[in-house]
Amino acid sequence: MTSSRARIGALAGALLLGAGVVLAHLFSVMVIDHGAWAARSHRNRWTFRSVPSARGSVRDRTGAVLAYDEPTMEVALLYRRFRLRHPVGAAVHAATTWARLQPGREATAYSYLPGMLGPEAAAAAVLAMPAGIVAPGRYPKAVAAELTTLVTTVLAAAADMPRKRVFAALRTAAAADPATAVGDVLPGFPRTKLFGAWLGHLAALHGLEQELVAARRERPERLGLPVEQESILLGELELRREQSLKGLRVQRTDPAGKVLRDERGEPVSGDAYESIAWPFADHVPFELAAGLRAGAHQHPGIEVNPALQRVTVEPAGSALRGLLGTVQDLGTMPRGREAAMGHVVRELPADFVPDEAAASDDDYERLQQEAVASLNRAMLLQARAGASGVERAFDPALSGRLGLRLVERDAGAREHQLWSNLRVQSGDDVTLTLDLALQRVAERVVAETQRRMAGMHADPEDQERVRAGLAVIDANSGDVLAVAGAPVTGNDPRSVPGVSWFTNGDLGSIVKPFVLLEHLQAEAAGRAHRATATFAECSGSMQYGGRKLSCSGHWREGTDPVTALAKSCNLFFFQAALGLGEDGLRAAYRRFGLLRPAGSEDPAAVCWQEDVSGLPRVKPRWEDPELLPMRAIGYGAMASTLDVARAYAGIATGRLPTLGLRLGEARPNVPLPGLDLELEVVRAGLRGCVESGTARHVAVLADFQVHGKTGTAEVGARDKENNAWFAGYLPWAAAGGVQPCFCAVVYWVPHGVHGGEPAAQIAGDLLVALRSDLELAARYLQPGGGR
Amino acid sequence: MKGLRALSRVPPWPLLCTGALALCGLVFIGSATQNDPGFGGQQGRQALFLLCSAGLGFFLLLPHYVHVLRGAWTFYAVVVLALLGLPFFAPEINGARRWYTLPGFSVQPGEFAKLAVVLALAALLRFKDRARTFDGLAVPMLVAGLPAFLVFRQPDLGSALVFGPVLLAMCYAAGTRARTICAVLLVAAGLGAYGYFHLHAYQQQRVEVWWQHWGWDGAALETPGVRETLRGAGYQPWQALVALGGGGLLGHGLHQGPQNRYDFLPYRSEDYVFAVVGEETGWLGAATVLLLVLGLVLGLLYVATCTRERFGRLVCVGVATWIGAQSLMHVAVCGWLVPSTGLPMPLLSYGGSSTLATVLAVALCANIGARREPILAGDGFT
Repeated sequence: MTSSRARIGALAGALLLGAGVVLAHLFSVMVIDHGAWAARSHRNRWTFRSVPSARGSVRDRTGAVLAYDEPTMEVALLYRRFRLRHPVGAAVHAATTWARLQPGREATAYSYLPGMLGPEAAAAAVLAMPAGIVAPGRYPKAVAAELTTLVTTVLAAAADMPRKRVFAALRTAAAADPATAVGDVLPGFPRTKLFGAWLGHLAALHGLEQELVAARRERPERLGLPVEQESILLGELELRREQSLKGLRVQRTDPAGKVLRDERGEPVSGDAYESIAWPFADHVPFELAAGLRAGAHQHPGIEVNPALQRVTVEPAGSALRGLLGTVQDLGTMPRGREAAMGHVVRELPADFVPDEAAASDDDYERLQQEAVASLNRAMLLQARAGASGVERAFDPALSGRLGLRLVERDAGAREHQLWSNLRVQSGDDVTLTLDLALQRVAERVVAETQRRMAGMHADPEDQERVRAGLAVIDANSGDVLAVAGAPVTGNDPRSVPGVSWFTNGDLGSIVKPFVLLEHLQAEAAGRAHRATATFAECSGSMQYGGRKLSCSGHWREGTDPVTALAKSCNLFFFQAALGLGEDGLRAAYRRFGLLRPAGSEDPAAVCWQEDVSGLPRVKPRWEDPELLPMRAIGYGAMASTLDVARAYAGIATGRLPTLGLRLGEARPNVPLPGLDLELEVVRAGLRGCVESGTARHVAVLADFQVHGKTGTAEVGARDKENNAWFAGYLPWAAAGGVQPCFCAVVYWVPHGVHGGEPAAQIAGDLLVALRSDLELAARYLQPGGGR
Repeated sequence: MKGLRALSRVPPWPLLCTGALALCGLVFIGSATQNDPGFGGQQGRQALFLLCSAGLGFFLLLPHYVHVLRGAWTFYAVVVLALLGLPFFAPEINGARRWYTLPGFSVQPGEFAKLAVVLALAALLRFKDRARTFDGLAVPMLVAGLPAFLVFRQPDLGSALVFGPVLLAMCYAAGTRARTICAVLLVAAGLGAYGYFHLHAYQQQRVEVWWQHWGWDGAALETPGVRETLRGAGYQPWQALVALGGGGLLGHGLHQGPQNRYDFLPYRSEDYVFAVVGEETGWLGAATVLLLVLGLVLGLLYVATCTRERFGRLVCVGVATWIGAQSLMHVAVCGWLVPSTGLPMPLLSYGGSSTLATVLAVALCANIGARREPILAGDGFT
């Protein structure tokens, strides 16, 4: 038998052994693995916080703001917190979980919307649950824990009691009698009283919903959404409830949008949807936001955050709104778009992560990579990008870049120290060539004409097909001064009539100046043509290819090109076309950018403008097949008002400008050499068209000494509806050096309306409106211009 | 007079280690509660507890410890009654009924139960023949098991576990054969496995998470399931490990530990105070504290070996085992060597009852050490 001392010695040895094991373990953790744990310690408290950047504003050529960022408040939902801590969310989920434990009810799902399985039914079901749910061993651990939490939330809110007391009462009741109903476990709080108190929380939630809906309705028109929602909060709750019940997680992708996979090829899942704070209501009034912030405990899971809202000065439905386009959250765009638009950061400055912030070289690399990933993630959540129009075209300049801070924070997410700061870069302002005042005038006159022409149709379907468009440019610089259209049905430039067209956009006679120019030039240069002297006088029609080609303006007075252009004699141009042939006609169009060149070797390739930066438009083209003579009078040829205005600018100045929407950018002009004499003939014809030709009925044009041409293209197969065109220019530059050149169109004019008068009237109304505005007159009309 | 004369023979080493540990406790409680509006007064209160404990301990040094023997069973009965009264008279705090709330302070009978069990076992086992056989252990098991069970039901699993090593150590020191001790351990292991299924759900979860964490590598830590666990059931032990691991060899410095400063570690002045020690003083500081504990424990065991009187010897063994086992278990919990359970570290953690019970226990051992009577025959105090 060992002596007592030996035994005590053995005990001491056992304690020393235990201490040795513990010390060895501590050495392993604290010294050997120190690097890894230090990195985890860093990860605990160091985080990257992004700083939102303001988008640059869009201004017109005079500096007037067209679109800008306005600080606002947005409301977000962190659903996990809502369903665990809000009495309504907890009731819905607790009732659903409990129901699914019962045989035959596995698919039951309670809802936030009124109904048999609505929130009131959920609360009643919760209060009727047995308290035995908190007892261990009765139900699966995770389910029991979740039910306990949810039931505690419901009772604590209804009884206005601390959660610990409620939990203790539940456990006591469960131990005494597991069949006791949850609604009966709190002494002094009968079930009816609890239910009544809980209804108060439901009413508060509905009250918040009503406030949000009312706030949305009251927003200024400039912020209006295309569709008004009846439900904001409840709709969001329903969506997140379903995602939560399905356990949906964000699928992680790389910046190019490719799904990330682990070594087994399985998609890598990110955070659960319910763990992300999803914004669902923007531009919340300050009073409502302040109330939500102050009463945050009333609505757990509903957060209020500062945000930036893009505001456009023009209302929805205006052409300018369509031209400006829209801004969209980067995260809502198709994945991969952000990379294509340059919103992906590949690396940060090497000194962004300070040396002392990293535990080791590996930790430093990890922090740098995490900073890049964090910035890209923040971009998806916070950054916005232009989705269409000007906002998209000039997005690199407008966007700026989020800032990023490396901060040290505590367990409550309070920041204590700033380690590093990547300064936020606000977007640059972009100044457009548009003139807001001119644009508004243009939109008004176009809308009036469109309404008037639509009213002339008896058939409502025909009324809906009537569209009108107008483009005004500076013939010298190519600056786009105004682009109007009616009606505008979207927030995209292509929804502006004139920029694009629907079905048949035939140009009609407004192409005749270009054909005449080519005919005269071919005659002078000895290229293929039919001599003007050999032209037959207009007899009103001619036969070609088995078809009778008509001329509506019978003119028997001769074959003078100036008069032919002024009177728009089809027969003259049919004969010119036959002389020029297909090649000559193509050359006529290509010289003025109204047809794509044959290739890069084509001499007219320099005349073609593929894109107008900031303004996507349908490009000029020929529709096949069409008879050669008909091409000469604009049938089968289509172009936008912008391209036609550009072509007429070439006639006005002898140089073809390059169109652009951004003020101050260098844009080349394409000279039209060796055409001076021919251009003078064409100009004389255009002057004659306004003074005594097909545009003479719009007398105001002559007052302004406009040079222009009407065009009518019969596009209606049954009732011969027309596209009515007018294109022209003022033959001088205004005080600022701007020479207005314009093109107007009205699609689907009723048959019988004279020629291009509706379109010419648009131009006339525009000029009259300019003259009546002193400032606009000074900018665009020579002082004393007109009679 | 005799009492005062005895003071000159008080073994200094245990008292010095106790003082050093108490001082460390004050410092780290202060660090753990710096700038904390809820717990900021703990350092001051702990100082007050220590003063009171030291005062009472001093008075415990004066009379011969035979008086303690005579009162051992009475003390045991009072403590057991106090434990029995908890479900009826103690308020529920954090889901447990552990404290009697009195004006200005609260008393945790569970801490005094450890001292009561040591005294009762020592009184029981001082008769040589009782401890040698398996059935001879039945009464000591009952004596230790009853308070242990009552503590377990509070619930306070961590404190309940301390009774086991104390019982076995005292029985072994009293003469129980090693084979018998091993048999008891085997039975205890079997009972432990059975008892696992009767633990509360949250306690079972702690065991599961502890078991799982050994298999976590870098990739596993990135999976949503593990991240969810680290936010839930594994949060406290994980943060304690991060604190310890981040301390390195030398630590961040007093009051500079980030896990401590930034509130990532809950209950760090009580159940995880050693993590604060490790984070702020590094492995060297942690080892120093552990060495102080070992110094105290070995010092008490030395007093036991120098005491021929059986009651005194067994008391010293019991107190040494109690302090040593509880300290090692606390450190093991902080290092996640064992599943997490709330267990304060004697003298280092904040707690009035724990401090008082520990200081009184050490004072009693010092009393025993100061009165090593020359035994001419027999074992004394039969």
